[in-house]
Amino acid sequence: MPIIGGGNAPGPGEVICEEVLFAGQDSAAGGTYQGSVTVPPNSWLLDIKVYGQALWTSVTSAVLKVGDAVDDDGWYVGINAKATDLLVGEVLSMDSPGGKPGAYNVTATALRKTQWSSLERVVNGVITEVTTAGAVAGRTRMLVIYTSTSEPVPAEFAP
Amino acid sequence: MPVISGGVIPAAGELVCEEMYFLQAANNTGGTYTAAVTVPADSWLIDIIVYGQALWNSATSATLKIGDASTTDGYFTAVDLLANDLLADETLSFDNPGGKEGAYIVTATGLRNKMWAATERVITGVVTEATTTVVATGKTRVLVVYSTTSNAGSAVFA
Repeated sequence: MPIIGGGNAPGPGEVICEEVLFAGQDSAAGGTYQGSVTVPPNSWLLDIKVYGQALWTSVTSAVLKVGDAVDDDGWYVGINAKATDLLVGEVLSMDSPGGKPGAYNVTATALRKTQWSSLERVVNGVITEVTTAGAVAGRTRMLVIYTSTSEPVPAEFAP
Repeated sequence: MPVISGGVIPAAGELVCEEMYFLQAANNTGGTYTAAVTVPADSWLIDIIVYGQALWNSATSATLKIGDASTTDGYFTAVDLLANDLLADETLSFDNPGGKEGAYIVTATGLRNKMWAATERVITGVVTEATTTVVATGKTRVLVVYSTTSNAGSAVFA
């Protein structure tokens, strides 16, 4: 039935995902790789998955963090993309952060933070690399899963 | 390749979500807040996430439960919205129920119940409040994530 005007007819929202690829570059001096996903206001952040597609071959280090404007490593902190923390074919997620959760993911109490917000949020991933080898192999993928904007009607109150 | 007639061609389904919003009413003597999401038949319930947007300031208590027609607190039970169980900006979910899981979420074995059903299910959230203050502050949100109805093709038997 079409809605002529007015009224709030909330229907199911969508679950959406966006991906960032961190691909190593041949730069002897090293540097940073930055990719971000903007999550709209009044939406839920469901998960952030990090996938090790190929180990980084940086001479010294390649470390990934994921966060937002308030806490730049709030979701994941200090992930060694060269080895150990995330081998090829492995994945980290909010439920299985592999010992690398940031402050938003409180594994001790199982209570997470900032999963909903009335404001737009930019989920930002940064790999900081210190010196590279000639043959560059590093590839890390980040998937951000969130809902479309929701404006629910408040629950019915019965005195 | 077009299919001329007959045959079951299952396509990829979608994940969808619906939200409940519990907004504390000012200057009341207590009562219940009820909201529900209907999950269609032949679909999967993926998750229910509870978010504490703002603590409730009820004089006595404000407690949330989430369940269905069979067990009214089957998913989450006795979540204290005044403090402790769900502070502002915190979330509970199936994987991280914060000790407030209902009978459907068996954390000891890691086995959950009622994640699929052939019949339509109504997921209901209820906040029971005992007396409030003049200025109400409480805001709690609940997201229900589920799959669209699936007509799964049968596995090949050999």
